[in-house]
Amino acid sequence: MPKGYLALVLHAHLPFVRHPEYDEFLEEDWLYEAITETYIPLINMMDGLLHDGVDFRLTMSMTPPLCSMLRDPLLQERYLANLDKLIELSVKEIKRTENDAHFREVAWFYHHRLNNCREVFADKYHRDLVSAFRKFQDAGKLEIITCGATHGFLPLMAEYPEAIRAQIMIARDHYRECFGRDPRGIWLPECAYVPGIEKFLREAEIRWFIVDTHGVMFADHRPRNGVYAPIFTPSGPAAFARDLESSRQVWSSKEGYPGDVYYRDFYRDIGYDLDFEYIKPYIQSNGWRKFTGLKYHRITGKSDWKEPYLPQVAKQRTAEHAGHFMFNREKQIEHLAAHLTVPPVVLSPYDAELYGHWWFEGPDFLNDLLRKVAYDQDVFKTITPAEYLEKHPTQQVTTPSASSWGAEGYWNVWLDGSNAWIYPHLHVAAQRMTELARQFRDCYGLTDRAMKQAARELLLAQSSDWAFIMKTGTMVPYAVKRTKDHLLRFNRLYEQIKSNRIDEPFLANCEWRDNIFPNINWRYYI
Amino acid sequence: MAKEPKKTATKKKSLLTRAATKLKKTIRGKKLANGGKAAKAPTKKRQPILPTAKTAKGKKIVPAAKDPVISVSAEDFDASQTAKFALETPAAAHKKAPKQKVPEYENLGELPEAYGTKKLYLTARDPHWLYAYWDLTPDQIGQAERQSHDGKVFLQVYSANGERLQQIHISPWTREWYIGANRPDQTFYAEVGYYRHDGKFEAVTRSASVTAPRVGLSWRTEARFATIPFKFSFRELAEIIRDHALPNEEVAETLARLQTTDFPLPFEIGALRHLSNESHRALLDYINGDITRRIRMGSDEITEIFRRRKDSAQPVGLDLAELSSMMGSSPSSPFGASFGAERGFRAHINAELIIYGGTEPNAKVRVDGKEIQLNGNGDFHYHFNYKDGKYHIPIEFTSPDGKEARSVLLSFLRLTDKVGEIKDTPQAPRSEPLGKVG
Repeated sequence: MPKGYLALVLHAHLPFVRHPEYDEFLEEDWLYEAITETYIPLINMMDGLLHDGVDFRLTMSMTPPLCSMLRDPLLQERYLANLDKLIELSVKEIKRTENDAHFREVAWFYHHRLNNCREVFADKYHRDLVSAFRKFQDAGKLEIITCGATHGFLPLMAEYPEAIRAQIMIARDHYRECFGRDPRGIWLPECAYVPGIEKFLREAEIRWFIVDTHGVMFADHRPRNGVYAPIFTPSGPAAFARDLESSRQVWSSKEGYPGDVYYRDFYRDIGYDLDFEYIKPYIQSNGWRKFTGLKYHRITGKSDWKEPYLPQVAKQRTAEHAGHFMFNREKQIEHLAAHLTVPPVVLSPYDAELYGHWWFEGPDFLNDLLRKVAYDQDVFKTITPAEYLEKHPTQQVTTPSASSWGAEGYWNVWLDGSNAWIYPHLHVAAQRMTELARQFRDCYGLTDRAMKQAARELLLAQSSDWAFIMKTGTMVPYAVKRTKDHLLRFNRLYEQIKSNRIDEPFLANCEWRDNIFPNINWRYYI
Repeated sequence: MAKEPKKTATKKKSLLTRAATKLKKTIRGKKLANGGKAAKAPTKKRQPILPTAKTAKGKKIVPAAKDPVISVSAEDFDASQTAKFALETPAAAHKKAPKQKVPEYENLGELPEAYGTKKLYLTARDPHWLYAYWDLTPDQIGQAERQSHDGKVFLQVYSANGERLQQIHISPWTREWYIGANRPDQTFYAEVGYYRHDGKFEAVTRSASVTAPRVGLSWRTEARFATIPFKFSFRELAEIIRDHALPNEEVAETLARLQTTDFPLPFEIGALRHLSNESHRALLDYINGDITRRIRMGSDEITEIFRRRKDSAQPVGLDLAELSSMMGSSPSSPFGASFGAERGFRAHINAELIIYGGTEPNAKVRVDGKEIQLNGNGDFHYHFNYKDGKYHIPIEFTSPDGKEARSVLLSFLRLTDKVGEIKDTPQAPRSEPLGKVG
């Protein structure tokens, strides 16, 4: 009988970025890089664990925009083309580095990795990575949860309950299409919660969600078990809290594992380092350099000097870090178990893209960790939150505190001088969508098509990613343009629907560009 | 960290605002992007990029002199803030080549400045700050000005009982305001309007009520438990208890209440074991330091500073030098400072902060959630170096018998505005020590 549980939760999300109107579009690389560096390594990890019969539990949120992109034929085609170029580059790199013992090894390492990606993506899963994750869920090892339909920041929609309801119900419907059942849990976008959101979750039969530590700790009434047991909100869905101690070990840039000097350096990339003429075919067609993903150096230290990357040494470090993480959880859970009246559950949520993309060796770390936890100790087991609730259905009823997982713990990241300008527009659009939905509730044909598209444009404008990018200061023009474009399309559709003058070519153009949620039910806005 | 209000109720478009913007730009090291412009070679010696291998043509591969140099020590990034968009490349790089033709329906115009819906939106963006915007056109504001007795339109913020907390004169072009209310766990509403000739306030628009989040543990410690079996859907549970729910009662509340009675339910009810007070306190001690810092200081990174200080047995202190280095202003940081030619402009301000006080020698004092050692006469004395950022330092006193408590919250803000490509300039070594003095 374990003394407690560890619930690892990976939040896999990228904003919906798909530009059929351009032959190449830099921001689509976000998806391609994440597939190569994060999603396929995680799939390989889980395939390996299944193959070896390792008992493990992992939870992943896979957001509707991410699933939509992974299932989109255009993006699948572009990913493959992108991958093939990289494989071609890796062949040239083998040749280029043949006289250097260190770099030659790394060049071969990438060559094998990229070929493996091709095999997994094209041959094994026939371009449909969503089906790969679904397989692990159906095997009972992975729990996939949903998110807001487009990762909208729900607390700032609180005056527009129809908009919150639509974010949740449309996500639920999309999850059914992807995974063939109902979601049991949800990652609230940015873990942002205000009391009342649970009512919409209950309607969707969503049993649990995650808040930041203070969301549970400052719950009213005070939670007796602190943040190491879930609480039931008055409407029934349970809130699990993020554990700070385990988060920090992985997240922290200074003390966390990813800063280890033997791990791969993120910034030194041959897309920037190599001679222009040589690398030109593999960067942007307009000649701007970009990351290729081929990186030959390890972090080394604080100076600019970077030593060559040694994949085998890095591999040893992940095993050591996994052992360290496990040991700390054993001590933590033993300590907590002595005080709690239920077995403690330590919930560690991370951005999935941290593993592999930022922290290149992250998936190896997870692999080592899950194997060690299964074989090397018996203090705790991995668990999914749903499974915990099945085993321990008696918990305290109390209301979490408003909170988010952003810096400072509330709305500051998504509501500040850089991005607050979007909310008057988003609010008017949400109010107009409900106005349309009520006025045209029985419409069909062209009007129905326009209503669907208006809902898509509103949802895409609501992605919290745009406000986040504006705040953090990189790629800001893109985020501004995306917000404005979706709002402008929405406003134009609104005017056309209201005046019964729908411009079909314009509508068709919007449908072609923003093709998310083909079966969207806009009547949730009524 | 340095998430400072862009506009405060008292000072708008001030130096602080610009400093804040500037600061923000520097924080995430977005000089990294550098617009793809040819960056001046950094003054530091750089290593050869890759081994001197040759291309197929036999040409040596060396970095092109004009290419932007990207080299950042991975230890300096704040993954909690940037991980999702680590997938980034230089900002200007996404501009399309001019020759690419513009797709159909690409430029749909501009969003309206205002819609004129007269909506007044108020939200609590954290426990201390409110944010308001109003959707009034300049014409609508002008009209209100003309109807007023003094030509002025105000934003007024009230507590739930109608007490006016703030009054802000707004111009026709002001559309939003950040209000430092500093009243966690209180409910507010706001109005935009004007004073009539008879002296009464005429509201043009009124917001909904909002409640700022509470900071800290709830005082309500009694606990109620419910068994909610996973295999029953919420719909089924609601059906089972439908005739027994009180008005405004939600499912879990009804179940919690019924489960303390003999009400028959088609599933087993778990034992409602309460945690002992000793265990609850032990648990709070375990969590409390972390959580206080998470909220007050706002960042995991800052939490680490404290943790490391604790681990190395140094006194509690705000090592702002470390904090500052995370924000990218240290000379060793590849963000910002290492680009650009050396210029001769020397300017620096150092600030130090001394916190001191006294109490009964056997009383307990907590500074930022950590109990501190008092001198024999009950005095304490701290000395901090003070760099850019926003800080809240709570100080709590508890009497020796534990029956009385007092607390003080100290808040500080320092912002630096820099114009031009600025490197850290030389200055005399600064006084030590940081942390506890005397």
